[in-house]
Amino acid sequence: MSAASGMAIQKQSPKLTLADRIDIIKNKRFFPLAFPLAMLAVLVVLFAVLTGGQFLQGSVVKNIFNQSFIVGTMATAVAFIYSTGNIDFSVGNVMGLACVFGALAYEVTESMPVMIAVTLVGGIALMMCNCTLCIACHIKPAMVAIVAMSIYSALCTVLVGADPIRVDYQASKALEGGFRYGTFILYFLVCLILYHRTAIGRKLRFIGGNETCAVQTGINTTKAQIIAFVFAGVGVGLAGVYQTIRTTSVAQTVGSGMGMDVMLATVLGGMSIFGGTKSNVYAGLIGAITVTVLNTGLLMLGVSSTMIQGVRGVIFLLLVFLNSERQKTLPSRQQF
Amino acid sequence: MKSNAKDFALRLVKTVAVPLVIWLVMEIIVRSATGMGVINSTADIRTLFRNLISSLAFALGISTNLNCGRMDLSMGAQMYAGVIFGGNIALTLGLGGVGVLILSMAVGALCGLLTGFIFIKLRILPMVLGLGMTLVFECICFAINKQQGVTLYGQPGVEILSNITFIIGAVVVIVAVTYYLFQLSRYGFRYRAIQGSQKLASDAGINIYTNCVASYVIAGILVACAGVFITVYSGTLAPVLGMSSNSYVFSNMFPMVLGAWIGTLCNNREFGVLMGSVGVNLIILGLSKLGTSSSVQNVIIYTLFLIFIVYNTNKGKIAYFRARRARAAEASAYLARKKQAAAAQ
Repeated sequence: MSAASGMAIQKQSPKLTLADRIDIIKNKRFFPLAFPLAMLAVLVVLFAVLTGGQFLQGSVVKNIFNQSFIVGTMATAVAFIYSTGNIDFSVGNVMGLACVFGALAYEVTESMPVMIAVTLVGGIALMMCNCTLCIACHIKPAMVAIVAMSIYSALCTVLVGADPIRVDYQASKALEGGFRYGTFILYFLVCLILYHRTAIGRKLRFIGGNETCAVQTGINTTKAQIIAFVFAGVGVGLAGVYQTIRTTSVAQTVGSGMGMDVMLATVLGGMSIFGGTKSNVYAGLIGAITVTVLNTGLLMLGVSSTMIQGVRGVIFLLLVFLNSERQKTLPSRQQF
Repeated sequence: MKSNAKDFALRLVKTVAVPLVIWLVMEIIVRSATGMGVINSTADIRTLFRNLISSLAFALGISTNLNCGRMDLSMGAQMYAGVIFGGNIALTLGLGGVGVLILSMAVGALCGLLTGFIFIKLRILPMVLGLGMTLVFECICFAINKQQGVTLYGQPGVEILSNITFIIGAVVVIVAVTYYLFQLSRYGFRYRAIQGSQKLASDAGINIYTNCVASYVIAGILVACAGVFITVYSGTLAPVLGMSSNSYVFSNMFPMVLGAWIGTLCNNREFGVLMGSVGVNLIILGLSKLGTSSSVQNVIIYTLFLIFIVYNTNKGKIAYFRARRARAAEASAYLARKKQAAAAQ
């Protein structure tokens, strides 16, 4: 009797469509991490097969890692800001100006530790400048970013001039090894723990998910935003150091356009630029590596650099579409 | 009737006052520094109007989507695509300046249509879609015409686009058409309903998807129009990569924001953007007269922009503190009068 009624209930229960099943998978907790990683793995395997294994050579892998290092560090840093539902695409220019400060300090002192310290402090100070404008003057971060990127970019041009500022080649190359890997791993681990294992990360994600609700539960959004900008500043400063020691010189165009690359990497890594509960700190790094894998793989296949950008755009839109939830109405948000 | 005319005149004065004050301030600064005015010759007027039309059209293009909460970062790339494709086709067919303008706007409309269509189909965040579309459009622009872009300098029939009367006519047409579209047409009523609440507008039977695509198309037309005048001014438009085209979107935010604010004074956004563009271009012209480099100009203009948005964001608070201070002054005056009366008794 009970078995028959069970069968009847089973027959009456609605049949899940393919779209429903995909939605269920997308809503799983592991999906935001698994999907970008799976896409990265698919790309690696695809390029390895298409290039006859050349793609997996040590030098190629090292090159991919080196190229994604700077954008990856910045993308890790801005995850703190993005998770609160705010956008800051001025990080590239912040990094650029921090690099200029560091290089100018090096010119005066000829000391690498001073250059590193000034770049780091410069990154934090400039991000705090953005933060002050957002918090004290109540300007939307996206608007602050537009103004900041224009001012910082112009300041870079004024301060550097026509000739790039040079930094000692030998000292820079010496720092490219252990110092760079060590500091990055340390920074990444600290970010990972803070973001996913402490109240700071939970608060930031909560604010991004529903700011009104977060305020009503007693979360100090101002304090949380300051923390977010400070951590972003540290990351941007570190990226500035990596940039200087990689190129051993600072030109007036340093960092321009990198803010957009960071946003691209973050989205490609599976994180929403409007933050919320599904945010994570590693998305940026995964995204940066994915972009570099795509660029390197396509180049090795003989695709022109112009076409690579187009292919990157199409794949980017496709991945974002597959990774995001299709809304019933049109997505919109007042950012300005 | 009389009150309406008075109200209209008052609003008009308020609107025109903003660029007028800017011109006066710049005139004093430039005259005291160089002994010359901001506008000295017909060349200055031509420069002002050439920059004005491009910033007006671009700012209106940005605000078309931005007012509905859609920040389209691909507008710079749409501008490149519109001008490079449309311009080259028109030049090949020998259609002259007007042909370049019309075909560029047509290609701009197609780019807007494509972006809008992808947006309503994929429904990914507008800013994210803008990034992807920028990459695609820039790649396409780079791939055609042997990466040369489009050169309008020295082309037959293109000189009309530099003609001051033509430019003034184009400014009037742009303001009139956008005013009709956003304030008087059925599209405009629906657009403003969606601007208020997308959900309510949809529930009321408005097709939000069609309106959205139409907005993207209008934005595409406007940015392509801006692009043509930018290209005529610089002579050539070379394609760019790496999302560099976004710089046009960011650099036209100041006229748009200033124009939106002026628009609230006269209840006319389009006229407000026009006045905002005049104001910003007067500042740029004045700074050029002072002999400042483009980088220094950028620092000054964006600092002014920052000051303006700080004021604009906090004007409610400023008004509140002013009112509180006035109340406190009133109360102290009342107390002083009371004390005086008591002393007199």
